[in-house]
Amino acid sequence: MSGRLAFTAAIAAALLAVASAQAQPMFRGNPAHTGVADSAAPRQAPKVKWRFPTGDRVVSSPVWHQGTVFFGSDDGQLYAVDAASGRQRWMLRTGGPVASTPAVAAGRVYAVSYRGGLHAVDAASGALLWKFTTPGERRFEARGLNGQQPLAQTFADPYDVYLSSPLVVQGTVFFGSGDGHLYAVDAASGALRWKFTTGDVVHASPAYADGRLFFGSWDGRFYALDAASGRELWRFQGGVDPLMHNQQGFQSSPAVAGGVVYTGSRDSHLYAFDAATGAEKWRHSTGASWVNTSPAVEGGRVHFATSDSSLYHVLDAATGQPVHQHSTRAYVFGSPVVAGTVVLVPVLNGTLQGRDKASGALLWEWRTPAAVENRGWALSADGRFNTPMLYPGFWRESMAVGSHRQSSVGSLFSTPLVVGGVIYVGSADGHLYALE
Amino acid sequence: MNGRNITRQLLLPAAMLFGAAAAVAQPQAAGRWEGVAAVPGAPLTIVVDLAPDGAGWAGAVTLPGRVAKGVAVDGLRVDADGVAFGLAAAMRFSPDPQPRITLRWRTDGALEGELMQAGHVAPLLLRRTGDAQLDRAPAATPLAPAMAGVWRGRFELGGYPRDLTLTLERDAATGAGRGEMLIVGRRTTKLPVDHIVQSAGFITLTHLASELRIEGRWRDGVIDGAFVQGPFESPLTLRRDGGAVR
Repeated sequence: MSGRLAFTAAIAAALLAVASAQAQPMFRGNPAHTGVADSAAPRQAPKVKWRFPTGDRVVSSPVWHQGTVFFGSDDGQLYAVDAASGRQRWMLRTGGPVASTPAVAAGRVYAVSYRGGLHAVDAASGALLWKFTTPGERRFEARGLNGQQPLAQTFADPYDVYLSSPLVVQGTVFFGSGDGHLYAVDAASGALRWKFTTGDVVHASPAYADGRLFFGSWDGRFYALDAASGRELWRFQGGVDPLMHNQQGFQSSPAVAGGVVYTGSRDSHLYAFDAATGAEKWRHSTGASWVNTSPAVEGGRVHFATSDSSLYHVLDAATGQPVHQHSTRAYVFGSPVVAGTVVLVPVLNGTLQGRDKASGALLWEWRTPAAVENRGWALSADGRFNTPMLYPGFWRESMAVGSHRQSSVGSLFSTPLVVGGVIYVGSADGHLYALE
Repeated sequence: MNGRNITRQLLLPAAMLFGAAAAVAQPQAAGRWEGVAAVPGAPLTIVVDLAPDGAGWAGAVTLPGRVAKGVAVDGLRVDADGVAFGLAAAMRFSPDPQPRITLRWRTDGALEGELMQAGHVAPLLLRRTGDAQLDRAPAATPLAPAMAGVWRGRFELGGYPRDLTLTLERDAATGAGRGEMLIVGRRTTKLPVDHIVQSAGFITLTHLASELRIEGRWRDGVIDGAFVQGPFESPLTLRRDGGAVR
């Protein structure tokens, strides 16, 4: 190849990279939340290109727009960081953990904060444009939750980690709230267009296809709404667990592909519904293991992973029949991303796994420094959660203490972003990492 | 006599003497032993109680702050080389390989070795701090003849009714009791009753592996109490059904 041709090809590749990267402006990459990256992830183990420190854990997933990575931190800030250098461009103080993924549209960044509400920010300067305030965020809570004692005590769920991530479609921002509503807000002005009431906290992120919104609630129901009016089109009742409230609720965010909605549930199933009618096409049981990950759908296959059973599953999208499954060794809450011939699986043991898309075989693992250090043996020698070293019992705040100790290994709650072959992912060690 | 035989004759008595000395040292194992396992970033305090138990030894471990107090150890070995035991019950839900402590005698009377847990190894030094304070589980008691037979009742857990059939048998020679719980709800579960403690007015029937139990006051063909499963306790009344099983 001549020098001129090579130069032209390089420019074309760069333009293509930028163009494709512009399609990663929200959680799961697009309104249907299919979890497919435009860029391929490396098939060899990546190394740290840079890491950006924040003041608390990063469960938010990064998004990309015109060379800038946007993400939130539990330290209460929304960050804009130069994707190439890892240098901060701006940050915005929201007053509460930004435990959701921002969305970028028309030069604005939209982010939800635990302070309660939606922030609209100028993407270039970080200037706050408007705020839409809700009555306030809260985590899912229940008496004797997950068998915690005393049974008569109401506990907030330490594993209700995420806030709903905003979705921007046709000038409207949609997001769920701890007050039990799904809100539709005018993207330009911040004016309320409509709100839909569910029976409990909504922390799943709505997906959109063909004029319909899809999301689940901690009330155990999955809803389809008309995006323009907020009118309910259909609903599905998931599992109920009056004893421990453990096997109920939707934390997973749905994906829509080919007229089918796929969603995980804490009732230990992955469901497939007809998007138009809500008819259940199939369900896949994981035993008694939560499906908190949001499924990725690509090439006729559904990719998702589980909590306690710690398995990465691939199912046939049409039938729900298992294609293959592999151990991830620890819980998975962050969502798989299909990136070229690689599927990225973020694991709560502080490991990012690169897996072969066709076979599911492990290609490489990258571990956070905290996972390598493994203070207090939070992990077994082979990377599983070391339960007796984590939980100080079943009483009072034990579960919260245990989940905090789990996070000490730099858990990857964040869903990775891939742009131009570089992987961006947040860690509970308080950093956003760029890996290549 | 060749050189090899001379060496054997010299070494054999020496080995026997050493063995005898070590055997004499064994009784010092009895007592309370305390130390800290050097787990990186989270030193783990370990208290071990060892006491002779018939022809063998009994041991229990306490892990302060880890909700393990006087929990029986498993696979206990006390000999001239040292002390070794497992901590499966004290460190429940440990990933394999199961936790184990292996210690060797030091010349100063301390026990030195390591804690192995979840594939990790941490150095551990235990020193004797006093007499053993062994917590012994309540011994099983004989079953009263009147209890043998079939008992039936119903309880509710998580909004679902479960029918429970309890079958108790009594060994006529020893009075020892054993039995079976059959629980029929959304699924059917059959568990042995392998530990029974009965007093004048109260009975506790336990499946040890799951710690699932029935407990209550008993009189005139009625056991009035509760079904206990982990943190959940449901009212349960069992009534005698038919004749005694012998």
